[in-house]
Amino acid sequence: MSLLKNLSAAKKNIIYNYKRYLCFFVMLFLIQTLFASVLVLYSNNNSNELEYLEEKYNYHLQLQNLNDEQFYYLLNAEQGEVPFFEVIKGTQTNISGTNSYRYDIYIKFITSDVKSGYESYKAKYYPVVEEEGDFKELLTPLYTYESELALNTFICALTCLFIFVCGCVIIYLLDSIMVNHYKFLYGIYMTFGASFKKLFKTAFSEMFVLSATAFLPSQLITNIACFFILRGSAQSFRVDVLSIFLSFLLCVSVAALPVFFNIKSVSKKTPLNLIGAVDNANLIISPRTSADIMDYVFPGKLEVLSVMRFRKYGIKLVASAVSFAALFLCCAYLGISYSETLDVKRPEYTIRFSSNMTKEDEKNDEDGADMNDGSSFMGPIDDIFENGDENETEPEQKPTYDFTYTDEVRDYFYTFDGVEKIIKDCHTDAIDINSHIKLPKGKAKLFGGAENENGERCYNNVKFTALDSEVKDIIEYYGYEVEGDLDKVINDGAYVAITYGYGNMSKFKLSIGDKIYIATGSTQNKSAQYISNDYSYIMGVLLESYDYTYTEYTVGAIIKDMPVGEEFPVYMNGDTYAAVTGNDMLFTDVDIIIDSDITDETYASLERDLRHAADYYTNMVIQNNDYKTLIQIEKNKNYLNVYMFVAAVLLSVSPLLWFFSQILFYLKRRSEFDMYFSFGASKSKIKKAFIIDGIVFCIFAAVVYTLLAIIMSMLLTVFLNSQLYSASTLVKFEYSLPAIPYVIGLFVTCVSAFFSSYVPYMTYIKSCHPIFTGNSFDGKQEIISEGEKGI
Amino acid sequence: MAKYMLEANDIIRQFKQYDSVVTAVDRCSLKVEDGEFVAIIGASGSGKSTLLHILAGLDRPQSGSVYIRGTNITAMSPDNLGVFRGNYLGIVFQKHNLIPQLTALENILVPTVMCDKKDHTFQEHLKKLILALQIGNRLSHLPSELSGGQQQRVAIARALINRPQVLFADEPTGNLDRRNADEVLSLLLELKTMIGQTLIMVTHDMSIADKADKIYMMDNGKLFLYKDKQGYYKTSYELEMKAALESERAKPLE
Ligand SMILES: Nc1ncnc2c1ncn2[C@@H]1O[C@H](COP(=O)(O)OP(=O)(O)OP(=O)(O)O)[C@@H](O)[C@H]1O
Ligand SMILES: [Mg+2]
Repeated sequence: MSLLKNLSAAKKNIIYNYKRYLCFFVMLFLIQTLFASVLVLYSNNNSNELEYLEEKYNYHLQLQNLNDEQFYYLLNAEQGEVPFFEVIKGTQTNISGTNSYRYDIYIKFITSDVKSGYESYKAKYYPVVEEEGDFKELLTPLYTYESELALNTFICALTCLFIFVCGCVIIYLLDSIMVNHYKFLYGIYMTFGASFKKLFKTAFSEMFVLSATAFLPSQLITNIACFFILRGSAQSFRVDVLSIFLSFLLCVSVAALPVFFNIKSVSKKTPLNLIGAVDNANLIISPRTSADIMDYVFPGKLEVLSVMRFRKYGIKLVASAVSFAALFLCCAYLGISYSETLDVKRPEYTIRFSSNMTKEDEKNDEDGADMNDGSSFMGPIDDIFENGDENETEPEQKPTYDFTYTDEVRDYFYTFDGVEKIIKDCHTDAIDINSHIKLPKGKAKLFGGAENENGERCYNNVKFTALDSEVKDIIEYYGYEVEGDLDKVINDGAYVAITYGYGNMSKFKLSIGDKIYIATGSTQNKSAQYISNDYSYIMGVLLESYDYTYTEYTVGAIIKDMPVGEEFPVYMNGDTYAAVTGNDMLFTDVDIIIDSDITDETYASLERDLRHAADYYTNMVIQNNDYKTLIQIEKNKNYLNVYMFVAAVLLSVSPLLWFFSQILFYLKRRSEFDMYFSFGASKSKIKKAFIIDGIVFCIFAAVVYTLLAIIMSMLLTVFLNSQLYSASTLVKFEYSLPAIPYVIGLFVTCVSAFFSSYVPYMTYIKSCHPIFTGNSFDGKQEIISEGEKGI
Repeated sequence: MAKYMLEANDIIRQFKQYDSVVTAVDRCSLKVEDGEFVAIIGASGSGKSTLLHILAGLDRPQSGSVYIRGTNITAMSPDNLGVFRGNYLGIVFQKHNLIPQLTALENILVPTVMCDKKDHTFQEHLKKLILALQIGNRLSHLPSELSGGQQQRVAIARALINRPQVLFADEPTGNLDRRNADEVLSLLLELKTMIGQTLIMVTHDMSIADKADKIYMMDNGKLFLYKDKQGYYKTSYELEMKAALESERAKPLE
């Protein structure tokens, strides 16, 4: 009952003073819209992701390269009372060059929880299946969907938390401006007995009414916007009632929490203190001495003096308003970086040529021509082997069998449709051969590696990597900036190429022509014992336990903007590679990057081609990384739009704070200008005073904004680089102040800084009164005679 | 029930400004019995308003304590103190402190809204106040539309509307002419006897102070009894002697 009374009083008050509450309304509307869009997108994305996956994969598990026996065993498996999987599809393929077949089988778990299905399968069938052959098991993204879902939920919760915190800060700032304006009023109320409970109830009712008023428009806009966003990428859209209610609830708590703290802090003050705030008195810093204003001019120096005396207010305002402009910049930068990560070239297939395999020479070459590929069947097991016809492209000339990746293999792979680039790699980890590199004194930055007794820094997180002209071509393909000459490294074994550091951070101070030392021999003088994953720690222990002999090499090239993980490559030609590592330059690791606009048919044919190749090169193992699907799912989520939306909301806070704060501030300075007016200042002089304020704020804000923008985006780059290198795909961001967001932020900051001073002038001049009205701290036109801030 | 309506002990209130410290109230103590009328006089800037604010629980002293109806209000939480003020205390500020955006009547009603203290005699009481203070034809005016004296009378009405047990008044007749001042005073005294109110008033007007049961005098932050119940006026000589004896000033406190 009293709640309803409170609410209706609050409603009345808001309607009477709609100008003051407009800004709260806008903010609560935006916050609610943000919550709603995150939650609505989250629920829609999840169901769309599942749909997409179910369409792409109607199975959880793919078993490859089964033999007859295994295949039929699984097909006819007795599953007991409650079946837990279904065979969706099976394919039979002739192993090229032989009369035998290999089989693939596609399994869908039909238990309510796919994990338990997989486990029962493992327990029951795995031992039989595993026994022999090239058998390989692949779990599809459909299987990992659930763990993916948990991650998504976590990210969604984190985003909501972020919005919650930001929202609370924004409302807190706005509300404290408002409360500051009303301090005198609160002081009088408290003099005559108002308690915290009473004040809070009133303030909360207002916030609740505002949130409730924002409910309909914000939910409508969110759902319509999400509908179009999702339709735009051919996704379906559903209205989610839970999201709607949750976002409202979150919005109300964002509104209530800061108000609670503000009122709490006000109610702790003595009434006298609050009453003293009647005319901005609480915002003035008391000067040590009076200025000699005799030779000041108005507005000129006198207004600058006023601005200085109000510096406490000014700094607070600029700091809070500008930080939102800077947050906008960061958010936009984050969005840009995020969409960059989606465009990073990722290897769709990772191929390993296992080198420890003994050569199988019995392989006949004769009937490789009639490979019968892709016989597949769908549905019930009985109508088996429904032959699909394939237009198989036959390689013109059959590559000779080899156990590793050669130029012929490469040329053969390039004949496949859909291959954009083949990335080959041959490296040896220094730690595996008890080696490391040593940099001369002064050539390493602080942190990382370990120092030997001569103060030279040693690093064992090194990958000795073979460099030939094809690897050079790959480096160029990625577009990394190279200082120096890679050809020199390829041609002259005394030269090596190195990166700027590791962990995506610059660690070395090397330049072309500098010497580095590679440990090529060691004698143990002490037993080395360690249990650690920490490279630096291990390095330290090893340096104490071994004496190393070093070979000197010259830095011939430095690769600048390459993403580098925990381990960094040192490139050297084949001979040097063999000399340093004792291994031949054999490219056993091959990544395949596919065309970015590959069609589904080409994708399928590429997969077939690769499997063919794997039949042929018996030691070749293919891993499908499914990046095409995963990235597509990620792109479907339209997170860039969300980032930009959040950025826009953050930016909109800045002018809101400027205008809200300045308008209330100048309302209280009205009587001061009235005084100047009554003692002979002209309107144009008063206008100048406001303009001076505007210019001072504008310059100050622009400087602070620029500094903050540079610092925050730099920190963000460092943070992103140090965080993202550990992700499965390496990305490195180059620092650059994002120009367009920066300019937008600067523009908004300057314009709102200036006009938030100028607009109060325009309202002031309309109603200025040469007769000083004494104690009235805000002008009459402001006053609405009923129920202002009524309790 | 406590012996005294109001009891203040050794109150110190200082204002700091950079390195200089103003001791506005310097170890003041006083005791006021229920229903007593106490006047505080003194030169401008001697600390009368500051002391009154502390006695009324509007400001906190750095040291010392104030008991009202036996309750230590200096130790109360701000919230409880607020409710306490609303229920038992009334104050007339020197600078009126009317809420500019509320009309005279609304200003008068503020205290009732704050502590829901309305009974059946309320309307009658309000009418009587308005009549006595002669503000009946200005009730719907904003404070900025009232004269200084009218504003003052509105402020007095606001302080009395809840029929407080203790009324603190800071020069309530400062802006009024002789006739009006006397009328206001007689109203205050009438109410005082009617509801057994205790009245503590700061005034410059000796003819008003003379009507008080006790007169205290403030000088440079120190408080002296100037006239007691027996009507004994201390001579200025005695006061000077006393001041000399107590001349040691309070040290700056934290
Ligand atoms: N907020 C404040 N900050 C600093 N000094 C203050 C503050 N309030 C009062 N003072 C100082 O305390 C002293 C006493 O002030 P107070 O207002 O109590 O005087 P008063 O006796 O009421 O004077 P008047 O008769 O003129 O009203 C003054 O010297 C004043 O400068
Ligand atoms: Mg005073």
